[in-house]
Amino acid sequence: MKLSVPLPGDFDSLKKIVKNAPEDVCEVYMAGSAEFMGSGRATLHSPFLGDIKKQIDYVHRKNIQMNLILNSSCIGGQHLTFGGYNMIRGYLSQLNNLGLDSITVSEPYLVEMISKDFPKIRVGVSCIAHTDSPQKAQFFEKLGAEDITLDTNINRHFDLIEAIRESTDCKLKIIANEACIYKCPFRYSHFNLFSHVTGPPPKPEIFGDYYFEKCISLRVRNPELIIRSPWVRPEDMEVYEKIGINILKISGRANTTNWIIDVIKHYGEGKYQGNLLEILDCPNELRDLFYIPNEKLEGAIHQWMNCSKLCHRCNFCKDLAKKSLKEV
Amino acid sequence: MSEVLKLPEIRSKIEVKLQDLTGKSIYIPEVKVFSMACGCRGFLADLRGFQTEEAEVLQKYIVKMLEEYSKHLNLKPELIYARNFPGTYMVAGLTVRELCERCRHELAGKSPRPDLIILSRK
Repeated sequence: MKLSVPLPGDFDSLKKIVKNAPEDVCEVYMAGSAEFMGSGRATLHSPFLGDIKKQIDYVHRKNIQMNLILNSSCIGGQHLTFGGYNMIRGYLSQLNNLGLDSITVSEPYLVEMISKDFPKIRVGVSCIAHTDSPQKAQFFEKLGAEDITLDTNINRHFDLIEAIRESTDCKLKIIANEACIYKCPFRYSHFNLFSHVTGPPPKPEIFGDYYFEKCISLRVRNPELIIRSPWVRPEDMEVYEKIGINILKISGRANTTNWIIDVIKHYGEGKYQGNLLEILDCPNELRDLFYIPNEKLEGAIHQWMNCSKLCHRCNFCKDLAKKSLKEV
Repeated sequence: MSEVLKLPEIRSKIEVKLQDLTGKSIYIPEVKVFSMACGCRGFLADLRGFQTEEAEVLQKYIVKMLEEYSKHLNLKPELIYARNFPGTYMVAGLTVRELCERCRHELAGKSPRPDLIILSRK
């Protein structure tokens, strides 16, 4: 399956990642300039336009496409003010002139605006737009989207993925290793927080990231939540390919360059031996607390393909956690 | 004297040294020694008022100073870096770190993560 892989945002990292990228990598992605819009993740390096141009030219020489992530879940209504509209439109015009291949957004207005005013740039829908039904997928397609990254919450809802596949001609992407808590109650609030912290001023001077710390604390107390998270093992990628997923997206643009290279390698090879937490982005902090041998998870996907997702009635993930997960 | 008891003096000396080197007002609200679950351990000084350009220009002085204080704390200064606050010119902190095997791999190279300015590696 084709892979879309993360970049921290600087040229040195890009060169290292591309040099080590397997043939399946068709796209790299990174956040845009924070002066214009934030994104749904921590952004370690915010590239200026000249930087972006240099990186686009470099990947094009390697036959790889560049995708820019402008997937703030909250722009504070600025896009609907004259000043905000002009600023965002001006930035998009400049990106258009750089030869950028695609932009991923979560704001429906931006999907329509980019597809109408900048036809050379493909517009994609971020997972932060929470596309979890054929109805939403069709809605975004009609607005002009050409690809949709599905809500990770439905990564194991195969009936919904199949229905979305039937309902739209958009390319479909799934994120393999994000591993946020399934049906996480913090998801909207956390993305909103990141959007403001990584975006233009005024940035909130937060005293801590409540959502992250709570998320990790919950999983420390209840490791079953890690098993229940909708990650996809490298070995299970083909199941998604068979039902029509076009691109597997690897998460982790706030990690070290070598970590990103290692994770791409494992997904490129379609196999991995070791602690699953080493290749997951979100609860990566727990890799020194828990060990989940990836090989012990072999076949679990068949349960999830037919699972009702009524966890309170089913102990499969709980039992699997007991059997496979060890404290380091 | 135990290592922890040396920290107030070290905090103050680093602050004064950075002020002397830059001629600017620089504040260190907190220094801490740390031990990570992965096996890394080290020393971190949080900074206010220090800029990335200053970290680059003053690299050899900063490294010399931190290597000296590492001795007081019984730390091997295997990796010394400044952490940039992303999207700004601010240096959020200076870190001296003894690396575990995994972090030695992940933090290898001239630019292992774009927010880190590597000042010294041994």
